[in-house]
Amino acid sequence: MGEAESRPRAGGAAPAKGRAVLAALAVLAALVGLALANGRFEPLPASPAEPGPPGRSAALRRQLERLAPAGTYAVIDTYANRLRVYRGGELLRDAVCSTGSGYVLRDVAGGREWTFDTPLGERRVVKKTKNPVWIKPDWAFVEEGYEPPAAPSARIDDLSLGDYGIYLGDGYLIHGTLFKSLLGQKVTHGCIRMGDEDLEFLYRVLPVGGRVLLY
Amino acid sequence: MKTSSFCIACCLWAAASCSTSAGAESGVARAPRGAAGRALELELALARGTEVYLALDTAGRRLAVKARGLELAAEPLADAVVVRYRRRGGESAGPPPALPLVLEVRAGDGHRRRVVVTGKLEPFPGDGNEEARRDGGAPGRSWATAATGSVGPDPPQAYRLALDPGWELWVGSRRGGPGPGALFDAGLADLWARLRGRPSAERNVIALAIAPEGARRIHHLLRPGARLLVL
Repeated sequence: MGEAESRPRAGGAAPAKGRAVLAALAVLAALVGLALANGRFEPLPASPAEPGPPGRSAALRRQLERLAPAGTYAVIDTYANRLRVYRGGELLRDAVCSTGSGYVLRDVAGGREWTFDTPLGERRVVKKTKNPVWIKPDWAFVEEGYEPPAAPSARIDDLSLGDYGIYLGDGYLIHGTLFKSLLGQKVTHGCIRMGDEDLEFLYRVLPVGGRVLLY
Repeated sequence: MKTSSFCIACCLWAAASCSTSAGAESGVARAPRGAAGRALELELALARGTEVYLALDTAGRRLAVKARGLELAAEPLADAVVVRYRRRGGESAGPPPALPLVLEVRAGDGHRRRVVVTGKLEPFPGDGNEEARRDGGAPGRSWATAATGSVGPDPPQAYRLALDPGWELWVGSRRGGPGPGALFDAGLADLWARLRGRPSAERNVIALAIAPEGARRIHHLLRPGARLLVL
């Protein structure tokens, strides 16, 4: 008897639950439908025609052309790790290089942080030197697990930068490397590393004041 | 009840999809000949600075990387769509913006960086231990990958960026502009705004369809502060 009574109850709960699920689905479908039918993406209208004064476009174009680098300049592709040298728009050299790794070094104890990016945009060569000497900054020691030394002499490194240094300001250089197998990779602390022959070529042709465009 | 609900939903979905694709197929907002002067003025202002900027030619489906007016590189696009979300039968948030214009990246997407956190630093051993230093740094150092061997994470091949208020840049492989998912998202946001009695937020989308390698290639150029000239 007890079993016979319980059966209809169980049979009634299932349809009720089913109806609730259906109702929820219907509400959800209606919401989706409402959201989809609410509006649409339309193309932007074109700007109204502006005839402008005659010759205005030609004058603007000339101004734009005057901004482009003249003479010898370098273009650095930081994604592909290539450095190209141009003179008057003609490609003189296409070389492999290494650029900033993009990683962040965080010195927890010292509360400091460094981001190793190669800067983008235009820079100018501020100085060129043979046999450049690197005065190692704090991060060079922290990265190796050492406290930065107090003695300035402990910061001098006359090996790592190779034969030539081309200074781009703010501590960024184009220089040589001891790690030639890593050329073509994003592994530096922001400087641009090159192979010996390419670096020598760049040192010879790119003058102080010459432009370097990094992207 | 179930059948009818799904029928309604399917019809609405189909209608919405049609309107999306219709909007996309009708083409991007192309700069008329008269706008060329305006585009040059905008580019001249960008080129006077020292930063790299991007020039998006929607009609030519081409994205150029430029500095000082000089084209440094270019990526072909499979599609380039500039669209605006508009409520049906409702008022727009304002007059539609017209191309050409310059937009700035406000927030990036996917600019993840590898972070190396140091532990306890050892006293610098001095010149006597030069060889030991070259062999891998301080003893017990375990946090830092070698400075010369660390490579950052690969950039993504699909991402979305917030540009100036009301603008977004979507980069991916999808052609034809925003899809039903984006339409649903925009519709829901608008409905929510209406429920709260607020005006519809302006939402303009520049959707670029580009090869995965191209998307990765331009990703690092789209950092916050980067400028995009849309023609």
